[in-house]
Amino acid sequence: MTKHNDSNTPRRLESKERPSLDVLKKNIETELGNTSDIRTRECTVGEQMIPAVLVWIDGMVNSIDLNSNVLSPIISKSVELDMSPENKQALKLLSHSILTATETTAVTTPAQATSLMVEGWTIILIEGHNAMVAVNTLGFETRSIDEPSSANVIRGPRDGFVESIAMNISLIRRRVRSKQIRVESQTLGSISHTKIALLYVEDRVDRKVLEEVRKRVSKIDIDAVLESHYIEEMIKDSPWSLFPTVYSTERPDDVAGLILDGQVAILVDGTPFVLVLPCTLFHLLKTTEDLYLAYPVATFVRWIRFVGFLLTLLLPATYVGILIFHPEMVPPQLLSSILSARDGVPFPILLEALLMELTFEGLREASVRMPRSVGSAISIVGALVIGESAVQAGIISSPSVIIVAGTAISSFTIPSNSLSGSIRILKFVMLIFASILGLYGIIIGLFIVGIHLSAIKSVGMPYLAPFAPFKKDEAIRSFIRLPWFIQRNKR
Amino acid sequence: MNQQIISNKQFFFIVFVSITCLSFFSSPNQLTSQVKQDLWLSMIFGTLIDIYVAYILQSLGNQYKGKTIIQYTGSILGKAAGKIVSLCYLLFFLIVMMTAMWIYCDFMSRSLMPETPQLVFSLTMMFCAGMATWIGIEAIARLSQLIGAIVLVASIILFICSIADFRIENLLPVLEDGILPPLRGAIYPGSWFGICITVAMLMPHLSNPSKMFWMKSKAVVLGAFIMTIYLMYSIAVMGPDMAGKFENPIYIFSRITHLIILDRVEVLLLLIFIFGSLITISIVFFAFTKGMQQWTGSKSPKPWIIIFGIIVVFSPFAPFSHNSPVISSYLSYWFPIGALCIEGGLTTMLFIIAMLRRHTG
Repeated sequence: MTKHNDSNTPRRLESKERPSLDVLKKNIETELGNTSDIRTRECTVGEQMIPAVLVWIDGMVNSIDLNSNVLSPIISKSVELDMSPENKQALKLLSHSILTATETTAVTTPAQATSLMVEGWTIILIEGHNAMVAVNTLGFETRSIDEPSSANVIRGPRDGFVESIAMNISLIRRRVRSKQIRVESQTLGSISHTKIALLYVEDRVDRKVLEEVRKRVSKIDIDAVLESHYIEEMIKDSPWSLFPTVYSTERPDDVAGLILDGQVAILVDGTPFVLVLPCTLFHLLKTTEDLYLAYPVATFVRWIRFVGFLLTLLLPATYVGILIFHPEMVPPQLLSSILSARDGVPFPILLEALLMELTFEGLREASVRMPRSVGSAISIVGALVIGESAVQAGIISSPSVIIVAGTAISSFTIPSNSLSGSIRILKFVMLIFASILGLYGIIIGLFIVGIHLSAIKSVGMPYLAPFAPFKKDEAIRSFIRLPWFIQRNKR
Repeated sequence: MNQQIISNKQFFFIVFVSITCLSFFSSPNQLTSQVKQDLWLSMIFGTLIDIYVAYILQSLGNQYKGKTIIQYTGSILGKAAGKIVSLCYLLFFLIVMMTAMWIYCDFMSRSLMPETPQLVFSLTMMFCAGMATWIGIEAIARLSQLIGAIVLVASIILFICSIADFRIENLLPVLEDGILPPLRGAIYPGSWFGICITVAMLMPHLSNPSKMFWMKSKAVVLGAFIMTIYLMYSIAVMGPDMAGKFENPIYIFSRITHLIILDRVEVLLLLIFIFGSLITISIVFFAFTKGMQQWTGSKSPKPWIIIFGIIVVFSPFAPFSHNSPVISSYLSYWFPIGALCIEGGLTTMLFIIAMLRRHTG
């Protein structure tokens, strides 16, 4: 960096009451605790060649932006400008007619300056001027838009949200190019200062839901928001419930569709997961891809998901409950083949089912955390050691393996990860109930789950809507994916 | 306290589920053994009694908007007499709960799980009903909407699956012993259907109370219709003599049906009805605890839920075994008569006094 500041010594003496550049710079450095990632660039401005310094935080600014919109205009175009401290309009002129950056503002205290710096702004300090010019040069490396790993589609758009909130809003806006879209931004987190935004379609949104969401978000008191789940847990109804009452998705087309249905989206800076409210059980069992597939296929797949949901919850419990308490329900041939397969197995049937289910949950967790190269090793261990050897050694019976595998496949059909997690926990509860009281225990368990599901709400919408309370048109639309030529008239 | 509101459709299903599930467990034995193939006539009379009660409750409810039966007895009869009469209703609710609980536990321990102590059934059922009551009528109503649909669909499937075993000659001759036995038999469905007097406690919760009579009549007719088909089916399949010998002919009848690979669907059917019964018990318990709260003027019904929950849990320990003559005369004589007196008699009295008061005052 070049130094120009020893050319104007007489002028510096003249304006002694004016703060010197070093003091201004020092103030800012002290405010930031002399952190080592502050970068400075010294230069001169105006026809008087007054020394100036640009200060920013490394890594938060876009250096191309900084060069072309701030530094080069200052150096090359400010030579005709009167930048003397006596000229009250000097800073205004500088930001209005010299700087070409999109956003500039004037700040007066080091505290204001530093709070902008941590958001990626560059501060211009000029010798003799109390006020400073702040220029938005925000720009940091972000992940490029690619296919969301949490929700793959065979047919449908392949872009997913990224970690930048501005980019995420643009991804939604470019799908719904309507002037009715409203974005309400605010900052959350007393330390992290995370930007969040409420996004909705003005003429379609449910006013009550919007008011409620605004109210709940404004009540959040937290020091840092690093992921949207922080907010999800703080705004969700019945916080102790196992069931997710806030929908989260990584897909812009999903959010676009939902806000068109009158829901409210909450975008959080720093995470690709966007929250959408309200969310019912049947929202969680739908996917966007349902709308991109042929309607009979989509309906069929949706039913498979409903069945998968119930099987995940009930299959192991029913197996244990029927075999322990009601073997007479099973046809004799089936019963005899199950019993002969269980011949010599040392564990009681409950323990066997529990062991296998826990093993499967372990395998599932292991395969999520492991690097992809180790993943194949896990599947070999899982399939060969547990599936094959345990059965051959007579430790585990093959019907149990079949039941666990069936439950596993069913649980994979649930599109929402959080719902699938809740159901997998409840599966164990049901298993315990079934082992104590058989099918009667399952009914008791179902009643408790049922009464809980009927009681909880998502921002005022009953969780089992549209089936309980029953709304005919919506229930049909939830149960069957109606073809577009019919659905078009129903909105 | 914010008022929980239930829609008319939900109310319809509440009544439907209560009627089918209560009569599934309570009245088949007496009806099939005493009235045999003419029980449809008993069902019709029972339904008429209940529609009459519903009409009275509707007009009382119209007169005292937003009030429950416990509250308006005071306005009709004056404070002291009102307290006594409403206590009668409350005691009636409690007796209904304990009787129903006794019947369920007895039936379950003899047909579904013989080795399990009855206390387990009453404990689990009361826990569920208490929890549902605690959460409130809205959740109960939503759940009854789901289970009502399941009961309806399961019944229709069962009827279709077992149509091959239907012997119409078992249902003939019509009115073999004259009209008197079906008339006398009407007290069984009449008394148990009349449990829906609990609607007098639900009326302030309805979104449209003026439609109560219409919705309730529809639900009672549908419920009675389904139960009549069940009973007629079991007589048609097994013959009147055999059906009369079983404690619960519907349960036995469902054994003959095969559903895909399952051999014994009666357990599934039973489970569906147990689920419905849980809802029914919750409704009665809700009516009872709400009534207790209003009767004593306490702030919340929650203490009553705990106190009476514990009391009802011990109802299977009523000191009579199933074979005792006391219990059979109670179930086949005293309970129906008493229930009819309260549902029909006491309510009619209230209605007449209210009408007189309106005309004189």
